[in-house]
Amino acid sequence: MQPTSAVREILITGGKTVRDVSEDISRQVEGKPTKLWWTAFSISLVLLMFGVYCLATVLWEGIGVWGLNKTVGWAWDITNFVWWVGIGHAGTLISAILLLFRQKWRMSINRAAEAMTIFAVICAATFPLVHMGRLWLGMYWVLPLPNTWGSLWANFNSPLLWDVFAITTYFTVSLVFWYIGLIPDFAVIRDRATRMGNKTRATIYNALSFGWDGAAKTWMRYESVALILAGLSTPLVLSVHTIVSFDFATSIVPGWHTTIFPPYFVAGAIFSGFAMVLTLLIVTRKVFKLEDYITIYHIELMNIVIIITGSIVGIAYITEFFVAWYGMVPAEYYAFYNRATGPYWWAYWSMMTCNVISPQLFWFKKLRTNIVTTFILSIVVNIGMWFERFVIIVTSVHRDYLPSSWSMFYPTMYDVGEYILTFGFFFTAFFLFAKFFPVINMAEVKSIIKSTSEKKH
Amino acid sequence: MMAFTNCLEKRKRILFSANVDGALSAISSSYKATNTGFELVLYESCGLGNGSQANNPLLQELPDPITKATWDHYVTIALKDATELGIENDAEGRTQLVNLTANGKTISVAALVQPGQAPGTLGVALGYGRTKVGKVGENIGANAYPLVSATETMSYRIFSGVTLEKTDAAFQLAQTQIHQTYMGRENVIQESLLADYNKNPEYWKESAAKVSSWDGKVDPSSLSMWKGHEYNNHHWGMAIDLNTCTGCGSCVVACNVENNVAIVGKQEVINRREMHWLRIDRYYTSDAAPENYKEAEIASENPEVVFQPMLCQHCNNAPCETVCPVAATTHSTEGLNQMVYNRCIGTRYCANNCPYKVRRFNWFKYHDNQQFTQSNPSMNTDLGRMVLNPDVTVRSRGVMEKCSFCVQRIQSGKLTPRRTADHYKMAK
Repeated sequence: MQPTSAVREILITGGKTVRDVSEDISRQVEGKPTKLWWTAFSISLVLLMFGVYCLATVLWEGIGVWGLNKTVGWAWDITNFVWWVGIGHAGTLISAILLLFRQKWRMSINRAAEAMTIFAVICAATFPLVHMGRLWLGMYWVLPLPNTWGSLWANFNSPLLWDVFAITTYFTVSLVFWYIGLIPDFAVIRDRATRMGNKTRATIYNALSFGWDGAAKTWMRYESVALILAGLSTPLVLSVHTIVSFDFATSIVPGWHTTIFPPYFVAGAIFSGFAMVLTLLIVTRKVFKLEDYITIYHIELMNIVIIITGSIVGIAYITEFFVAWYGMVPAEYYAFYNRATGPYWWAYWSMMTCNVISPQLFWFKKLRTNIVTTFILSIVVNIGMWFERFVIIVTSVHRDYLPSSWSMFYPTMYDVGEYILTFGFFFTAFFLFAKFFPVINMAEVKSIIKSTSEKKH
Repeated sequence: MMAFTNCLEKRKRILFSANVDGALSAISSSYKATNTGFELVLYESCGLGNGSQANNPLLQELPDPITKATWDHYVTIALKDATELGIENDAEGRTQLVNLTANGKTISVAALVQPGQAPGTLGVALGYGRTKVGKVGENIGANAYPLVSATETMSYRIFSGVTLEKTDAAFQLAQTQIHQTYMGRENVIQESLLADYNKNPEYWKESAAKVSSWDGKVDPSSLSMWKGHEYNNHHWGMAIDLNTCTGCGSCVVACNVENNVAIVGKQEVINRREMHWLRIDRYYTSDAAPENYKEAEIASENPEVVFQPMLCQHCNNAPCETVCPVAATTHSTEGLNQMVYNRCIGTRYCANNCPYKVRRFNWFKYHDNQQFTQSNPSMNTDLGRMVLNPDVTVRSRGVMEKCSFCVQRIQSGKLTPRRTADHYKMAK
C-alpha cells in the first residue's frame, strides 16, 4: 500500500479497484477497434502515404523541389525537426523528472507521453536525414566509424555532429525506458488472454513481456531499472534541446548567435511537449472513456506547467530584443527589427500571440480546468511553437550580413508534404499504440488508487 | 568567347571613344522642345550585345551590371513614369508586360523600374526576340530592331511617336539580386573621397567598429578564439581593385567557364539558386538615413551606384569549416578554404553560416539531366560536355560548391616549373 497524503487530491476517481484498472485499460487492447478508430487510423494512413510520395520525390529529384535557396539553406526542414524534438521532451520530463520528484499524478499520463516522445523523435529524426543533399552517404559519414580514409573523420567541432549523438542517445534511452515500463502491463494482458483462452494473444504478449513472472524479485529489479533509467533520462531532458539550440547559438548568423538559446529552447520544448500531451490525452480519455484516470486535476496540473514554461519563453523573447538593442551590434539589431516588422512580421506576431499571450489565459482557474479551452489552447501553443522555430531559422538567415543576398523563402508542396509525412506517421503510430498497447501504466496506477475511501456502492 | 570579347570591345568603344559630337548633333537635329511622349533608347546590352550570341547560356545567365536581370528582356522606365502608368515592380521582380510602340511598330516586353533613369526616357535592349537561334535563346523577349528608325540615317534614339501602354499580363523577371541598397552598412561598403584618403589613408580604420575587451575598446581583428594557422609556404589571396571595377561581369563568365559552373536557367534564378561562384553585387544609395530601415531599403530616384565583386574570401578562420559535421570544407596549408565535393553530404550548414553568402548548393543534378538541357546544353549533351574544363570536377547533386581560387591553376602554376629544366637550374 502506497502512503497517500491527505492534502493531495485523489488522482484516480471513481473508486476503482485493482481489478477495475486492469479491466478498463486492457479492454481497449482486447476489444475490436471501433469505427472511430478505423476512421482516424485511415486518415492518418492517407496522410502518411501522401507524405511518402513527397519524400520519394525529394529523394528522386533532389532537395531543389523544396523552396530553399542560396540564402535560406534551412527552412521547414529544420523548423519541423526542432518542433518535433521539442514535443518529445514532455514525455521524458513526465516520466523521468516527475518520477524523481515523486509527482504521482504523472502515473496516468506517462505511458502515452512516452509513446509520444518516441514517435515525435522518429518524426524529428527524418528531417536532419532527409534535408541532407546526399542522405545515402551522410547517414553513416556523420558517425565516427573507423575507416580507411586516414585522418578523415567526423568533425567534432560541428553542432550537427553533437545533434547526432544527442538525438540517438535520447531516442535509445527513451525507447528502453518506455519499453521497460510496458513489460508488467503486457504480462497483465497475457494473463487475461490465458484466462480467456486466447492462445495467439497470450503468446504474443508473453513474448512482448519477456515472460514476466511477477515475482517480488522481478519487481525489485524492475523498480531499480526504472529508477536508473529515470536518472539517465533526466539530464537528457535538459541536454537534448540545449544541443539542438547549439546548431544556432554557435553559428555567426545574427539572430542565431545568442547565448540565451539553451534555456530558452528547453523551456520551449517542455512548453510545446505538454501542449501536445494535452491534445492527445484529451482525445484519448474521451474515446477510451478514461475520465477517471486522466482527470481534470491532471489537466490542470499540465496547464500550470504550460503557464510556467510559456512565461519563460515569453521572457526569453523579450530578453532577446533587449539584448539586441542594448548590444548595439548593427547586424543583430537589424535582425530583430526585421523579425518584428520585416516581411515575416506575420510569423513573428503569430508566435507572440500563440506563445506569450495565449498561455496566460490559464491563470484563470475556470479556463485551465475547462476541457474545451485546454484542447484549443494546446493546439494554439503548438502552432505558436512551430512559428517560433520558423521565425528563428528563416527570418534570421533570410537577411543577414550582405543585403545583396537577401531573399525570401516560399514553401512548395514538398515542404508541406514532408511535414504531413511526419503527421501521418505520428498519428498512425499513435493510433496503433493506443489500440495494441495499454495506454495507461496499469502497474503504477494500481499503486495510487484509494479503493476504500471513494468506493461507489 | 570571341563574340563576348567583341561585345566588350564594343562596350569600351561606347564608353570611351564614342563620337560625342556626332551623337549630340544627332540628338539636337531630331529633338524638338515640342516633342511629347517618351524618348526611346535602343542599346546593346552588356551580355547579349547585338544578339548574335543570344544562344549562349553563359551570356543569357550573366546578370546585367545594373538591373541584375538574367534571361529576360525588359524596358527600363523611371519610377515617376512607372507610377503614372500604374506599373509596379516588387522585390521578387514581379512586373507587368507593356506594349511599346515606336515608329508604328509595337513590341510587348516587361517593364523594369530603373532607379536613376531620367523621367521621360525608356531603354530597350537589342538582340532579343530571336526566333531561329538555337535551343537556348529562342523566343526570349522581343525583337527591338523593327523599332529602329531608318528614315534618314539609322538612329537608335527615337524621340517622337513612342507610346507605352500597360497591360494586365503579369511577368516575373529573374534577377540575381533583389535587394537594391546596402542599407547604409558601412562595414559592407567602405569608401571615401580621394582627397580624404590622401589626407589620412587610415580613415576607414578609425570609423570601423570597436569591441570591448578587458583592455578597453580594441580592434575586432585583434581578438580571436582561434589559434590561427601557420603558413610556412604560400598564403594565397586575391586582390581586386574596387576603384577600377565597372561591374561588367566578364569575370563572372570567365569563372563559369573555367570552373564548369552550372547554368541553371530562368526558373532557378527566380528560385534564387544561380550557381555563380563569383558575382558582382550592385548597390544603390538611398536618400534615407541608415537608421531608418524601412526607407533605407528603397533606392534614391537618382542614386549613386557601387559595384562589389563577391566571391569566397577564403577566411583564415572560416565559419563554414567549423560547422560541417563531416569536415568536407577545410583550411589548406596554403590558406585556401577547400571544398571537398566527394566528402560533402549537403547539410547546407556552411552556406547558412557564410557571412558573404558565396556558397552554392546543387539543388538538382544540373548535369546530364534532361530538365536542364535547354538552359545548359554544355553539361547536358554529349557534344556540349566536350567544352567542360577537364581539370575541374563537375559537381553532383546534393553537394555544396564555391570559389576555389582556381586551385587547379594554382596547382598547375606550382607544378609546371618543377617539370621544366629551369626549375632544376634554379634549384642548383
